[in-house]
Amino acid sequence: MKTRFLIYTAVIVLGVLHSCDKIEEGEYLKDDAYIWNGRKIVILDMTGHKCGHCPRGHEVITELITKYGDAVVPIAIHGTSNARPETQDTALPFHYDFRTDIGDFLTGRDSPGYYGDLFLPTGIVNSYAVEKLSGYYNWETQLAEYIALYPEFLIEIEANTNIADSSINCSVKTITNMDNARKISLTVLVVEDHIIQWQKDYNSNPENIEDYEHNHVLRAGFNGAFGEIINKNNSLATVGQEITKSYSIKQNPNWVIDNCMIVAFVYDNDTKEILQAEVFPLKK
Amino acid sequence: MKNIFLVLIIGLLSINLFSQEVPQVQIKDLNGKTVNTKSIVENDGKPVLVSFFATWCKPCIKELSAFNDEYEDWAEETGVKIVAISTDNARSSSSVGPFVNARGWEFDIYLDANGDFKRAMNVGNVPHTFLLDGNGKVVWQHTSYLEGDEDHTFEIIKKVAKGQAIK
Amino acid sequence: MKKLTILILSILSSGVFSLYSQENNGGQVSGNFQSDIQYYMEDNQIGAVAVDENVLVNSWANFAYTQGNFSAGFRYEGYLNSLLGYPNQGGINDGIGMPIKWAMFNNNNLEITVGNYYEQFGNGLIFRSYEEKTLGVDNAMMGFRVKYTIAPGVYLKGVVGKQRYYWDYGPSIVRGVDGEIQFNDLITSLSESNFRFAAGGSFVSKFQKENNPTYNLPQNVGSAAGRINMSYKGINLSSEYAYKINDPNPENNYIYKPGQAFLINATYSQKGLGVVLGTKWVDNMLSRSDRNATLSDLTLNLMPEISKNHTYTLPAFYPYASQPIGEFGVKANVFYKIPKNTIIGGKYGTTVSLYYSRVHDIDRTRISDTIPEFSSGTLGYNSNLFSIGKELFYQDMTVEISRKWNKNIYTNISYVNLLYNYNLLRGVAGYDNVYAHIGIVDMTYKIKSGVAIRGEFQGMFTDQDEGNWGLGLIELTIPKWFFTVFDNWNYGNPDSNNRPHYLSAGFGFVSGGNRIQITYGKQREGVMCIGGVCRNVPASNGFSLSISSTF
Repeated sequence: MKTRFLIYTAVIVLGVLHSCDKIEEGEYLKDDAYIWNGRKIVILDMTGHKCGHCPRGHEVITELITKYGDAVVPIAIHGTSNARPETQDTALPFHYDFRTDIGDFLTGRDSPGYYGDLFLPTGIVNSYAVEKLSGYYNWETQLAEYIALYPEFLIEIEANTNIADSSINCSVKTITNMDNARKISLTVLVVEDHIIQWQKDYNSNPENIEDYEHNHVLRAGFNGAFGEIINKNNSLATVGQEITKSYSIKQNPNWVIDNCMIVAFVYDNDTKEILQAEVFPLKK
Repeated sequence: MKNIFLVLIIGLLSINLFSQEVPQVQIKDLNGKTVNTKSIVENDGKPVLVSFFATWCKPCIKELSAFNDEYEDWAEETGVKIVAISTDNARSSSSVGPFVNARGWEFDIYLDANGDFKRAMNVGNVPHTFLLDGNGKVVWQHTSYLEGDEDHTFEIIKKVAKGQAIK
Repeated sequence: MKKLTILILSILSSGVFSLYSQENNGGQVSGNFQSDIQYYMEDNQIGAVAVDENVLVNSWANFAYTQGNFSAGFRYEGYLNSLLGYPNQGGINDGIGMPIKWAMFNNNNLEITVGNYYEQFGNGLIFRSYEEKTLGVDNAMMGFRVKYTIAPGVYLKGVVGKQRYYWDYGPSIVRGVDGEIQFNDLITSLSESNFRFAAGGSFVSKFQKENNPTYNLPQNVGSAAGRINMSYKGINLSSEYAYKINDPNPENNYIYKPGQAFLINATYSQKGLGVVLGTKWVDNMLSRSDRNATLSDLTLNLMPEISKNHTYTLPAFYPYASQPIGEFGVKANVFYKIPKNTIIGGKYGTTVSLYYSRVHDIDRTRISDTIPEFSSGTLGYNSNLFSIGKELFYQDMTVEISRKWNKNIYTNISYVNLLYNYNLLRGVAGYDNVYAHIGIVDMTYKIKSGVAIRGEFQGMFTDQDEGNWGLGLIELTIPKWFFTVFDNWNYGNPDSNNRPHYLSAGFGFVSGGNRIQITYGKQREGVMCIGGVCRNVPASNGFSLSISSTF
């Protein structure tokens, strides 16, 4: 009786001692799972309507939006010779001109731009830095590095459109969310969705698609391709500090204002890392 | 509805016969030694008073203080032993020793930190006191403490010590 | 239908009552019964509400049958419907049934229980299954338990089962073992030694399936604890340390940090003097047998509070509750009896009790500059054993002097000084910490044997929350009966239009193990805490009837 009982208890003790599932650091999340803590991530998608592989990049962005929702802030920058219109005749393919001053400056119009000689599609996730240029197949991995991080800054946008002088006016407030010693720049852009125009797609037959939907298309900047430095004398160093900037630009008659939005983001002037972004739709 | 409860109450109040023995439960003494409740109520054929209390319970402290004032006389006259069971949980069970020692209580004190003995004796609220006869049978019990209850308790102890009927 | 059920139940139970005393082949039946009945009336000033049912009733009865080494029992419970303020979200507790059933075999070395049981390992840091009816807490185990005394002084317990969740059971399978060796009983040469030493250890593991879309949650969460207890003459030292592996859950915001708890108590006592010193450090130790449970549901362990358990009404307005997410506390109690027949001590001696306790948060550091503390899906934070954080949760200083002046007069005088972190302890924001002074005079005058009058006068003085309160109570007792009248007056409420009296009167009858109490009056809204668990007591107005009986 006694021995048998001891054996039973020994078995129970051993069984219980094995009942522990320690999860190692780095394995806390399921393979496909993520936790979004409010940091919005900018993807600069360098693209062109005559670039037949570029729809692959657009597809990746669509997938990322489906998966990560508001965390993804894509900006399609049409540039290089791939963006050059073929003709001025609106009845013919590739007549539309997606190009902008900022796009031309970054990607080059007829000669290499800021990012050098580009082969499209290419892009940068959450940075302005040249060395961060990479193909669309890397974007999700790069985005995943930022997704769980907390925003170091918060951005609040107020905007309105003025019919009388056809202007867009906005004020962008940057609020410090974590103590830091960074030099901060702010870029403010206009981006438009749902532009139905021609696009070349090598996976499609025929290759030239007439009613392709172009989304997140960069239209203009309020303060240049790289924005402007906004904090002086550590004025955004401590949690709660804030700086508000106001801007105004003229509307372009080609834009459908209800499909337009203002995209603002702040980045570290030294590392070029984009730290937070915000989107404000102009549709009333 | 109300009538049903009335019936129930009257039914319950008419019951005051006991034949229960103290169940076997392991509790601890103030030194942390595990003891069986059967052994703590042994008293050579003399009555034993078992009182459930808690250090935070004011009526319990009054009752046990009143018992303590009389304990010497009661023990001399009837041979009764008083056993106090603290139902203090882990919050205050370590304070029970100093608490009772400072008061100079002479009872045997035990700790029932998870209420095992309390439950086995069907105690709902403290204070609750049981009187065991020389054979270890529960012959009388009392809940709450009202001023002067100890006098009545002693009358009962005397009867039980003499082997008389309580009523 | 329910009325019919009650009727049948009462007839059946009175049948049982009348049978119980008849011994049947040496077997015996025992049990108890309690019923709390409240009639609710609306009172807008104090926030008391009426209920659709008019009357709510909580009752239960235990029955146990014992014959030799065998015993078995059950508990019938009825909440028709559940009294306000008890855990009852969405009516989950309403109903009538027999949730507790058990059978037990017991011989000298071996005890086997099947069905429901309650159990605690050590101080309960990793496992405590208990019931506290006044809080509506009952996390009874349902399963098997074995207790075995291997040798004198060597105790082993094993449990397996699930925890009670109202009328159902929680999802986790709980498995645990606990062993304790009391060396003075094991080693015969030490049996007479003044130095006593005991050591114990326990291990508990809970299994719950996980299907969380985001997190890799541990399905088996283990926790372990070790404890010692030493005593030498009047000195006693006891300590327990507990560790729990990662247990991410909604309450700790899905962090993966292991939990820890440390408890040390040192006491000294001799006749007339007792000293208690204690400390407690707790970090992320909350454990439930359903990781998604809330409130007081399915708690698997309990961190004992370090503060005094105030039972007078006014200091109990601001009760401390353990913070298993993290806290560091210290306490010191001194009990001293000024000897009898001295000028100060008087004829019967005077007992002076001092209580002090202070509880802080623990100190935490971020795991990285860019990740805030308690970020989901991370380790959460770093902390060091016994680190003390800046945030003060609670402090209390109490002086209590009890004195019997002569055969007829007894007084108990208390002064309590409280600091209560209202926001943290109530889970709200925007309130000031409460600093309160409370004075209490409790006097009993014995008119003659069995007839006494007691007066209790309390005053609480604070600039925060509801301001000053005064309370007066008169209680008359005659043999078997007591009568009370009491008024609790919020005379110092900063809002001079909201200074209600909470007047109530009641009487009761006690006979043997039976007690009936009837009260009519108002009760203040408040919080009631016992053993680390609290419940909100809603304001009420009306009749209440409480019946209890042990048989």
